[in-house]
Amino acid sequence: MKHLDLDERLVLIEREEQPAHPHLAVCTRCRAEVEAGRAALADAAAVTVPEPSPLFWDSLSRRVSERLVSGTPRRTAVGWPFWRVLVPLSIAVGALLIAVGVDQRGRELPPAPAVGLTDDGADAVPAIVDDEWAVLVHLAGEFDLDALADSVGRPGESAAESAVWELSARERVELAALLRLEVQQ
Amino acid sequence: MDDEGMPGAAEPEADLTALDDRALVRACLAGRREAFDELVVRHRRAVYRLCYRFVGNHEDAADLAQETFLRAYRALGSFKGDSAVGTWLHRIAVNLSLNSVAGRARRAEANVERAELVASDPDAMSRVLSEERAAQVRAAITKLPPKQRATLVLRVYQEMPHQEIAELLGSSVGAVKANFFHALANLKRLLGGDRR
Repeated sequence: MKHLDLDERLVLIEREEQPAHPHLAVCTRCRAEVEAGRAALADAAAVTVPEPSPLFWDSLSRRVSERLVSGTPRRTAVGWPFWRVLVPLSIAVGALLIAVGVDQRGRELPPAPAVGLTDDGADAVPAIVDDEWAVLVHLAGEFDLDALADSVGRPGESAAESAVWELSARERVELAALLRLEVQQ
Repeated sequence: MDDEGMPGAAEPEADLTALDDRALVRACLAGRREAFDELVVRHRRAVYRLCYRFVGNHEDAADLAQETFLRAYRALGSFKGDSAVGTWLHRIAVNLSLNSVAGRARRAEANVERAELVASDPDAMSRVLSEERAAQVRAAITKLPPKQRATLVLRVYQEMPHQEIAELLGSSVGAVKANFFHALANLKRLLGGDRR
């Protein structure tokens, strides 16, 4: 005897109003499967989801919102004014690091503003008295300057010097604050 | 699950409750994070209920619903608008639930407190027995293999066509039908074959 295939059995299980299939009258196996399937389906369909406390919904929203606020990506939390400052400063940092690297290998740097030198002569390590410059020098020391120069291209000497030495005191403060933020992260 | 109307413009100052779902997504992407709060309000019930169907208890369902919205927020930029936001959230919830059920301890709420008043209140007795049976079925559903459980939930409670379930689960229609049939057979076996 040829039994009902899967499609036929599912149709009979899900649609009880279907006319009785003639095969079911003569096949106890298929009839038992269809009846068991109908019973299980009825059991499953009768189950409802218990309604949680009315306070739960607002609690769920609040939890989601709090997680979003605590983990909001920086790009959505920071407005455009930040980028107007960050972009030129980033360019300046890149140029600064290249210039420092080039000058460290080639020639002496002219004295940086607000950076004091020791009295020990030309080979002495500059005594950093300015916190902002200390951050920059520290970062420059860790940078792969050749790789950076290769990736961005070597700027003209005057451009590098301009970027390095023409930062205003306020720009240096902002640059140092940004770099500290990056280092902390 | 709520559905959207025609896409509207996500005007920066527009009343969020007046925007359809897609406009809320655009507003959120444009920087109005509170637009996502409105999406959560609209879909939290449906997402929670779907998760509950998978895990069978409130705590896990609440965690999964929360995670669903967090994942959705992170993936908001990839929402193409090909489907309704509700369908998209469903998809995330189903995937999370499927991943969750494999490793999560099954703790369906099978215990129903029998109040002392049951003995003297036929209606209460009936309710308790009914709820007890429901708890047994929920517990049995959580014992089904993940694919069978997902198919059963999506077919019975979400009333999805086999084709849509197949797309959601990454299966063939034939596999979905087989999973559904086996889910019913296993459910019957887990419930011991008795019906009250």
